[in-house]
Amino acid sequence: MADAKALAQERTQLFHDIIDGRIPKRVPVFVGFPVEFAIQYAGKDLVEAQWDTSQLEEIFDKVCRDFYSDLLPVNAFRFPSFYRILGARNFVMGSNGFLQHPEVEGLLQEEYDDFIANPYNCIIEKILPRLYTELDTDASTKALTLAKAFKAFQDEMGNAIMIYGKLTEKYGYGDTNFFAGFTEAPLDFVADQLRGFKGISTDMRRVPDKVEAAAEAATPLMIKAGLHPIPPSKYNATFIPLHMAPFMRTSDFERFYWPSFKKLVEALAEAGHPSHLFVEQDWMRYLDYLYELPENTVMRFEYGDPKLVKEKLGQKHIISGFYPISLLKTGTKQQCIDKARELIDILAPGGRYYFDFDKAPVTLDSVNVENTRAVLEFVATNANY
Amino acid sequence: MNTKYYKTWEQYLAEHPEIDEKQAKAMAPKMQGYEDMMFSFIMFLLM
Repeated sequence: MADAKALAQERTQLFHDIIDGRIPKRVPVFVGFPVEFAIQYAGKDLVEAQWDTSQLEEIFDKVCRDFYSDLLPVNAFRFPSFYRILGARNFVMGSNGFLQHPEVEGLLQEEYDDFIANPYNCIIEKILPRLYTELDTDASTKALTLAKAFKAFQDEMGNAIMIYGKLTEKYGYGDTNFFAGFTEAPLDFVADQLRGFKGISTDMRRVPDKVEAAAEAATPLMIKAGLHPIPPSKYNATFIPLHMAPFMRTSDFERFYWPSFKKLVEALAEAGHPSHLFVEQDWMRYLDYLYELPENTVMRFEYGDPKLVKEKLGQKHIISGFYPISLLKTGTKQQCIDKARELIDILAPGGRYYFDFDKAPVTLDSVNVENTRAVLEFVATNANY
Repeated sequence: MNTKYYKTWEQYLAEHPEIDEKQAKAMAPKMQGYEDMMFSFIMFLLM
C-alpha cells in the first residue's frame, strides 16, 4: 500500500507539472478503455456484465493490471438499466451487447421557438417523452418511471465510483481527474439528440436564425451541466466531446458553433473548472479559434497535424492524442513503438503534453493487445525528460 | 433558469414560509443537492 501511495504521488506530480507549466520527470500516460473493451478483455459476456454490474470490479481490475496508465484507465457511464426503464430510443442495446446510438429527433423543426423561449421546459415537456417512450404517459406513471430510472442511475454510478476509488488506491493512480464533469458544446447538444445530424444540417440552411438562437438558449444549461460537484481545481476538468464542427463550413462554424462554445469554456474556467476537450475528427481549420480558449484547456486530438498543433497551441494548452489506434491493430510491435517515439519527439518538448491514443478502443479486436501494452510500457519507461 | 422544473433553494424557501431559520440552515445543502442531481440526470439523458 505504501508503494501504491508513493506511486500515486509521483503520478499526480507528473500531471500537476504539465498543468502548472513545469517540465515533468517524464511524459505522463493517460489512456482510457471503455467498458465494452474491458468486458471483452476479461472474457465476460457483454450483455450480462452490463446488467450485473457487480462483475465490473473484477473486469476493470484486469485492465488496470495489464495496461499501463498513470491515471485510472477504465470508465463506464452508459448502463442499460436506466435507459431500458425509460424506454430509450437514443441508446438501445443491440443483441451483440453494444449500446447503439441511433439517429434520433427529440425536437421537431417547428418546435424551435419553444426551445428558444424556455429550453428546460421544452426538454421536460416535449423532448424527453419523445426520446424516452416510457415517459410518454400519464403524470403519475411518468413520475414513478423517472424515480426508478433515477434510482438505477444513482446505483450504477455509485457502484462505478466505488470501484474507481478501490482501483485508484490499489494501483496507485494519480489524483487528477479529466472526467470530473461532463457537458457538450451548445450546438452539439442541439444537434446530437435534439435535431439529429441530418436535421441540423438542413436547419442551418433553412432556419439559420433559429439554430443560432437555439445554441445560445442551450448555453446556460450546458454551463450548469458542466459545473460538477467536485470542488473547483485546475487539476480536475470537465469533459466536452466535440462533434459537429469538422462537418461544417468555416462560416457556419463561426456563426453557429464557436460563440456559444467559447462562452461555455470561458464560463467553466471562470468558475474554476477547466475543460477537457475531445477534439474529434480533424480541427486543423480551427486551431486559431482553439488558441483563444482559456489557458490550460486540455485538448485531446483525434486527427490532424501534431506539429502544427504543437506550434500553435503547445505553449498555452495541454495537448494529447494523435496516436492512431488503427496502427495498434495493423502494425508490428516495432512500428507501433516507433510511432509513439515520433509523436513524443514532436509533442513532448516544453511539457504540456501527455500521451494518449487518438480514440478509445471500443472493442477488443480494434487493437492488437500486445502492441497496445508494448506502446504504453515504452512510453512509461522511456519518455523521460 | 426560468423554469418550474428546477428551483433554487431560495425559490423553494420563498414558497415554504413555514420552514424556520434553523431547519432552513440544516436542510439547504441536501435539498439543493437533490435538485441539482435531478438536473444533472435529466441533462445526462440528452448527452
